[in-house]
Amino acid sequence: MTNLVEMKGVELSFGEKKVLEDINLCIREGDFLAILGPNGAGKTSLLRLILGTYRPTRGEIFLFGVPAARFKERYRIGYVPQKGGQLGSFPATVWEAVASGRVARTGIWRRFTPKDEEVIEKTCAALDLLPLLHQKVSELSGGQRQRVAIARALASEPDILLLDEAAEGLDAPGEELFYRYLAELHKERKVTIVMVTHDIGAVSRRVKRVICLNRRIVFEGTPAECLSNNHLAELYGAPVYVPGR
Amino acid sequence: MLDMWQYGFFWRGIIAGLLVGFLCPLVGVFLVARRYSFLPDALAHVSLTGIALGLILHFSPDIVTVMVLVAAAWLTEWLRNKASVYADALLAVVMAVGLALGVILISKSRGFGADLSSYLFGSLLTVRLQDLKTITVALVLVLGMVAVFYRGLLAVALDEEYAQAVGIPVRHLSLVFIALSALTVAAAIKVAGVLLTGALVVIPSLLGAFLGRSFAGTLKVAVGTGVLLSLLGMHLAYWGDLPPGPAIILLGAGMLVLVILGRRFAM
Repeated sequence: MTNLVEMKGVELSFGEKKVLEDINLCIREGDFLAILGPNGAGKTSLLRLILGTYRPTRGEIFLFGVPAARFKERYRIGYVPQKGGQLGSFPATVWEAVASGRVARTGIWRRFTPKDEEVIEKTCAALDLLPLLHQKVSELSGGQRQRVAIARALASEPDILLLDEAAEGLDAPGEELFYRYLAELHKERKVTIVMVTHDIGAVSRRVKRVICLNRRIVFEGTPAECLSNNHLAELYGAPVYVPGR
Repeated sequence: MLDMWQYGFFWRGIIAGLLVGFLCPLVGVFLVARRYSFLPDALAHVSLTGIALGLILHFSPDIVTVMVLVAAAWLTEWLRNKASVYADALLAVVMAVGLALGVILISKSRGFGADLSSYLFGSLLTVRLQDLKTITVALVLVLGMVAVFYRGLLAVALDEEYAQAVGIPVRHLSLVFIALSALTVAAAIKVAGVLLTGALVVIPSLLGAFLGRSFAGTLKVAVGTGVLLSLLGMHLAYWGDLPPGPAIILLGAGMLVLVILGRRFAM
């Protein structure tokens, strides 16, 4: 399997403060990976290193085998920010919001071809957004808006999807639906998924591999291994209750 | 009604007003979406520095103003990105510095005299052919930019952080757009003056945001409202013997209040 992301001895500091240290991580094609960790553990920073919005203080990052600084095909990495990012703060329809994700692949000046429009429409269809296409994003529920954020990320047909606490704020049915969409994406569209989450219950049921992060990687393995030992209690500094176990 | 149309200066004023009414919301919608509404106001105040510098250096105040505004706009954008300063606080500082520097330079120059009032509040009656050319050039450049880079500008306007994360060249796009915003301000000052240009950019854009059902719809409503406000404001100014810039702004503010009240009662 191809390595989509490879980190070797990566360190990230802001001034004197070390946010991440000694990160050695490999994300392979077909992975469904969860990154767990307490607040301030560096989870979002790790995603931002992959996205290229942060540069490592030390170490090397390779994206699709290319050093991150020289990697040009950023559209191959889809991103769903916390709470869907800034979507919905200014009038835009669902179609416009999803189409804005396609720009990462087409470039800023090229007009959409019929193929681009077809991809956008199919992406919306896959996420049950077709009936909402002409509705304003600001008028949608939290769950619907989250689906728009995922559709926007998928519109560039990425090979890997990074989700940053994307299910936060969803009610229980919305959360269930959200994880069902992710599972379908992973299974049917073969999208590699990396999700930062606090939702240990979802992790135990959905993902193939877990990384526990607290500035450095303190555990890497299957969800069962993670839950069977005391890793979570060590990570969070207190006993952790996992729903459904 | 007929008599006002027979004067060349009135025609120039009308055309300048309409072009500026079209131009300002075209950049305004993107600025408002990016929480950068205060930029045109800050730049308009900086323009005093440009005009005074032009007079002191005996070089075209129009060209010096555009150069000063573009430099100030780029510096502001650079500080916003590098120094992580709150955009609104930064713009307040830029506005105050631009105004302070302008006042000092004006006190050292002798060319302002009675023109100062028209620089501050705008004057349609003093619009020259050269001003019309400047406004037209600004409009053509902004229209071209929006037409060619619409998708990219939309992605950045909707979610700048996301656009940056997925590799859209936000910095380059912003630098060009901010420069065109500076050019827009330089052009609009002829009509609305230093003190009112910001409102001419923001009010139609806000009306568009309240009434539009999509981003494209917002842009269309904003531009349509900008042109309509200019037309109605100029007529109001003529019939009421009022300064046109303030008449346009007050009309726009009235319309904004009506729209806000209408939405509130409709809910």
